[in-house]
Amino acid sequence: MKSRSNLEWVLSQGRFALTGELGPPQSASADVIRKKAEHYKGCVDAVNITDNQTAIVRMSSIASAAILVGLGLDPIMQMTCRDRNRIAMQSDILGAYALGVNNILCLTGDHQSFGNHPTSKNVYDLDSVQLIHMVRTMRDEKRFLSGDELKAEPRMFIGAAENPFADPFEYRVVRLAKKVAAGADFIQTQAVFDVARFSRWMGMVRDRGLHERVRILAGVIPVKSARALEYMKNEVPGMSVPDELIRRMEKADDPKEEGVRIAVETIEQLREAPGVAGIHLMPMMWEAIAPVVAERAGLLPRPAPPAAQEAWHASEGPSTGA
Amino acid sequence: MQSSRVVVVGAGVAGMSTARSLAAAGARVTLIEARERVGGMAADYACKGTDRCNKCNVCLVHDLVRDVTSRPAIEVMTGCRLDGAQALPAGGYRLRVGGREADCSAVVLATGFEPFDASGRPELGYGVHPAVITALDLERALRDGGALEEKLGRPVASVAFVQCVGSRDLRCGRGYCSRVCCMYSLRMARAVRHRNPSAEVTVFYMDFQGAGKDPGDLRRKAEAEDGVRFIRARPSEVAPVGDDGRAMVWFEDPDAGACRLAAFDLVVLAVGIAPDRDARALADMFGLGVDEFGFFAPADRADAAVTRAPGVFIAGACGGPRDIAESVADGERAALAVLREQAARRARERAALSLSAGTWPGRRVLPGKPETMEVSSTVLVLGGGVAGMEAARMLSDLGCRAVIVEEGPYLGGQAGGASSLLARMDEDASVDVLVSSRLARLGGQVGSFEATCEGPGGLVSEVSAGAVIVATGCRRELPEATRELASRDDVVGLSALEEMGLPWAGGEENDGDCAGGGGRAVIWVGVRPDTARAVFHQALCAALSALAAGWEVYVLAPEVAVPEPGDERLYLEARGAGAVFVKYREEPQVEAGAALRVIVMDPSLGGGAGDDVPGALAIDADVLVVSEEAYPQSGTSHLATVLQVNAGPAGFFQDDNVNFLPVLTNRRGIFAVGGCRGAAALSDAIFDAHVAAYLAARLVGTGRLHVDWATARVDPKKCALCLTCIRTCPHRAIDVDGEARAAKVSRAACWGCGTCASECPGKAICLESCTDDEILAQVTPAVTAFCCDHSALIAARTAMASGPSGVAAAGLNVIPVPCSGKVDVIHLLKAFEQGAAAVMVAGCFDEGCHFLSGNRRAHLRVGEVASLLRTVGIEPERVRFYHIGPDMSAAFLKAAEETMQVARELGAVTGRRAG
Amino acid sequence: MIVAERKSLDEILAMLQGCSRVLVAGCGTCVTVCMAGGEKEVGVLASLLRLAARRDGRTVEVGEATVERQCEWEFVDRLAPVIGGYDAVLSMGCGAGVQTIAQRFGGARVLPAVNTKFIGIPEKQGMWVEMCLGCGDCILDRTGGICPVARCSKSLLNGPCGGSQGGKCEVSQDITCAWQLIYDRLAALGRLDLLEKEFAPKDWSKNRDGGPRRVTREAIML
Repeated sequence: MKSRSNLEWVLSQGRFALTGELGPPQSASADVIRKKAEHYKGCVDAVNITDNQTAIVRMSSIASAAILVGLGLDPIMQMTCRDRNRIAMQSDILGAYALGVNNILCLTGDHQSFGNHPTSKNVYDLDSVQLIHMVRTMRDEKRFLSGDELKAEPRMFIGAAENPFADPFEYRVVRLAKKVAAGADFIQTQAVFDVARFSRWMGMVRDRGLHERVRILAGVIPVKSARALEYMKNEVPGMSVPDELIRRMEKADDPKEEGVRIAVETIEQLREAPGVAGIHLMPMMWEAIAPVVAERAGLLPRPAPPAAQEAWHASEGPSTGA
Repeated sequence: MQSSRVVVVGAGVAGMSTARSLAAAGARVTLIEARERVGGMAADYACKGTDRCNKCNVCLVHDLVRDVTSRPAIEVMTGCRLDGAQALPAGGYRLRVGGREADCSAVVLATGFEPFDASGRPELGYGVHPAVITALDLERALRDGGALEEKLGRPVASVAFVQCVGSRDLRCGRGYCSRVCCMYSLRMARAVRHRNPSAEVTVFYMDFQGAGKDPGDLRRKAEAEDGVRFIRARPSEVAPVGDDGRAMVWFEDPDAGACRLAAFDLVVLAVGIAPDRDARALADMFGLGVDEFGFFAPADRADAAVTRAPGVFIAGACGGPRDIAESVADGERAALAVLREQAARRARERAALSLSAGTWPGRRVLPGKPETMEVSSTVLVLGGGVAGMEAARMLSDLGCRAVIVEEGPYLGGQAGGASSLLARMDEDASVDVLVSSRLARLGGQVGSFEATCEGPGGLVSEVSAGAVIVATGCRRELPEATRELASRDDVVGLSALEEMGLPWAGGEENDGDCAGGGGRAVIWVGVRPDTARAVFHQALCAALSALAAGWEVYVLAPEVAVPEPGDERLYLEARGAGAVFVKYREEPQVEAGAALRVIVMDPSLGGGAGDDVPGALAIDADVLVVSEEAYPQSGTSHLATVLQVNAGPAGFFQDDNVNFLPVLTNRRGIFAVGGCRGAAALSDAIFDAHVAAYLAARLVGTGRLHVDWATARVDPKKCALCLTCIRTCPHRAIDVDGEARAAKVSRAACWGCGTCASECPGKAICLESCTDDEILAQVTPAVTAFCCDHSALIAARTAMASGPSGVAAAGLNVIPVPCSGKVDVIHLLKAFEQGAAAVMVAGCFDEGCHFLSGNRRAHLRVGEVASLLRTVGIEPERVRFYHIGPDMSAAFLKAAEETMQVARELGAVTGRRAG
Repeated sequence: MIVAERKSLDEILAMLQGCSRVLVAGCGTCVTVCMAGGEKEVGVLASLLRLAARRDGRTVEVGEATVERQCEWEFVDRLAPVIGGYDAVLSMGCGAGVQTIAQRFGGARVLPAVNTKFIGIPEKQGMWVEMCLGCGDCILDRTGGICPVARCSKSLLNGPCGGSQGGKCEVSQDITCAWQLIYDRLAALGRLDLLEKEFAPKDWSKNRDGGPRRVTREAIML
């Protein structure tokens, strides 16, 4: 085991993993996080904490992740390259680990022009591939990016994102390979609505044997309405939403129920694809639906955390977050 | 020694063009005009520009008038008639003109036409009902701008045009198409709508006869933008109705199949072109022939300027209907014919052809520092089809060397070419031919082009040439709808007909289940308006030959296009011989099974008998002949890039701009002829080739080019080599001078519009005779109008000189510019700085700029100045742009008054705090 | 070339508050070529300043002078005879030009009339596009001659990110995804192998070390 991550343990057991996602509040309220986190208890293996998603200022992902640690959940701290240079990133990784965070998802980050501070200056000192490489170097070689020695290494389970629906399509799998070579242990994909395209991409992944070197969790978003789908199709960069799905939602008498049904069907289809090691559920401000989807997709109960993991939290980890 | 003077009789468009052309070639010319002024019929016409140029060509007349009256080599005699002529033994004539006698070497008759006298169709009520006027009356009313109601003294809320009054009408002895009426009615309809946007315009017509580069576009715009209604009917009578004085038009409604009445405020009779009443007397004077309608007849239809009388030539509508652009070109052709005959005579006398050093008139330009430069008298001819070979032959006749570059392995092109022409190319020492070759690069400018041609096996030849004639033809293909039938034996392309062997030639071999023992042929002429004229003659010939072989013939076409001389007669002949002409509105359908069946809706068959669908005609055809569509050659856009010339409508060479017809491109010294500039009949292509060869020879044929017009000049010290001028020059006359490391204007290639000077960000370019300093010296605190010399300035001068309304414009500071493209942002700002409260810029109509795009640049700059003014809190409406035609003095006055009104309302830009 | 764009009149007028004699100084090099500050733009701006004054009932004296290059001492020197008569110099040169004039004429109030934007080319007449960031460490050999540092919205070295779709950048449909261009070009060159290797983090010290960067060539120095 590279880390004490619950997610890593589940995957290492060959179990089909399930992760969730939690967006920190645009405030200093820890209660919001606690409330949202309730939905995930016993329902997922780990929870992603977004990092100022869509460039809107929110509570930091480190602090939010630390709160989850205190609640006994396994957070996946997202880290984008947009807001910090390599010094700040390494510093935050050390700090996060010290607070009990065992997973990191390395991202490029949405451009600041999407958010509420479009006049800010972006950093992008590193890109996501370089960030993965840096975390791996810190963990496995016990060195900073500068080459300086690192005494207590952050034993992070390293994740990366990949978008099978972005272009150039043929290149996406090359970039995935680059991330794997750089040190990614798991991959979470962009939300899948277009299963056909995802399958083509998975075929290319398998052709390169990448599914054996990295655990791939396919993204799924349960949607509430046809309008939400339309929005994603037209406004969210790098999304592929088939028109027939939108029509299906439009026709539905109970769109929320139809959204859940679609999510469950999608999960079932994705599960069939060789090389898919789990599902990453992104309820997008609809955390309450996560247990419902998990239940109906037959993904419950989740494997119990191993005793060793518990013990570690008790002895070393700042389990109360005090 | 005989006089070298050439006398041109008639100072209309063709006569003026002939005189100008001859003078430019170094001849001394006397221009005789019976009226008291030059200009001819067209001098009374109105510019029919709306917000854009409608290609009426009337502005060309104004240019011609100014040109012939200001050129020392042309003696103009108005109020004079030609009273007698006597052939001289050594050639030439002794003429009696207004009591004087004068010798000349040649006479060009350009006596024009008379409009058909509409009282010859009394049932149409001309001269009886005040609501009925002729197109000429409407021309006069449209002149000078102003309200039509006032000028005509009646409302114009509904207007009908009645076509073919005195054309295509055997009852009044006019068995020919006048060729110009459809287009002028269309333009007038647009102009009427522009003046009275609520007016409803209806056109009663038989067939639409297009002319010009893109007639279909004009018709589409008239229908789509102006809502002009086209009704295929020939009104039988016009009668007055009620007290409102409206006129009732009786016509047969093609949809209802019944006679109907419609009331109009105004009925405009589109009168046709009739021969001049004195034509017969002149013909007798010189022993010329006239055709059955009374127009002068050429000795040979292929060379329409040459008569059977030696030393006597014809130009323009005295030889048959022509529009303005054609008459201008006809003048060039007549001048060419004169010079060729004189050259032949000199050759007999072993004297050299006396072309003087080439120059470039034909466009009013400012005078500049005279300079004579050595140029190459070789002309590169791209394309070795008939047009290319004709150009080469003519160039050789005019003393130039021609180099033909042909992509294919042999000369001849689509039409194959007469063996005599091919032999001439072979034998003529002045004609070189590069086959299987193409132009790879073209450097340099007019007078000194450097062409790199790639031949077979990568062989590269460099050719230095003074001019280039592009004669690369077009691609002919069956229309999309019938393309899949191309492989059938019983479907054949119209232009391939001769080559394939006429299907009705071996008549007896057919099964002959039809009457007469022959088969049944369907000839489908489904072409666009711009190509119809080029192919309809072929279709009629095919129909007649099939009829002669005893076949049954159906001709399916949206229009019967018969503007070409003699085609109306062929049409009537074919109908007389039993050919069925179906003018369809919806494309015919072809059922191609074992046999062919063509189904077409015939609007003239109201409720057809025996057919399932009323009006449907099902024809079981033995042969289907389909006219091909013309497309630009596949390499056209690449060649356009190599040559740096513009493409126009449908991707053919040449802009759709009247100032460039027939053969000019945006670059001086590069000419486009024949099919490469749009579908052309063979005779049109040859005509183009001759005119282009003549213009090229006149330009560079003597090896010297005399530049005496104002051109732009670059100050190399100030040039930052930003390339702006090179990119924005509409004529591609500017290159990088590697040695000086600065842009350099080729004086020979520059047209003198001054656009570059106004675009240059370093102020490194000035236009001779119109420098910034010279312009700024004219700026005063008065309301200012920058006026294009080719359009608005003429209107302004007329307006300022005429009557009480001229007084209104008296306070206006009119600053002339050669082209509105010369007006710079700084000029406009300086006028405001000087205290002008409002400034206007007036130029030609869009697509009608004499320099191609100067007016568009000026319009953009006025927009820029408006937004700059806004940034300093000054009202943007103080700066204005207007399109004004040369005859639109009333429109000019209106614009000036509008501008001065703005000045009065807003007051001077001074002392007021904004906001 | 360096591409600049004139500041708004409002901004310029605010800078010039209280100045009654202004010298508008143009530059004959980059800003002439990009039509931001050559002799013509000097004339236009000077006219606008006079018109603005006229509108406000003020008097202002506006001089015009364009030198070959505002970023050379010798050329800037040519302003010496006239500069003393003005309250302010409004430089239409790039940032280097403004600073050169300011440094050369210690007592002068030198103001920028343009915003210096980037190193670029005219994509077409009247439209300029950024091509180079001057990062000091060129990698174009590995990216098919297309610079991701200047042309990718995120300056990614291992792009494209997940926002690239249909050849466009996630930031705007008006922005071409530089990495799509790089991919297409390397594909055409048969060098997609260049994209398999990870680009190491960039050495930004060549771009932003402390203070202005210098290039020195001793053999050329006097």
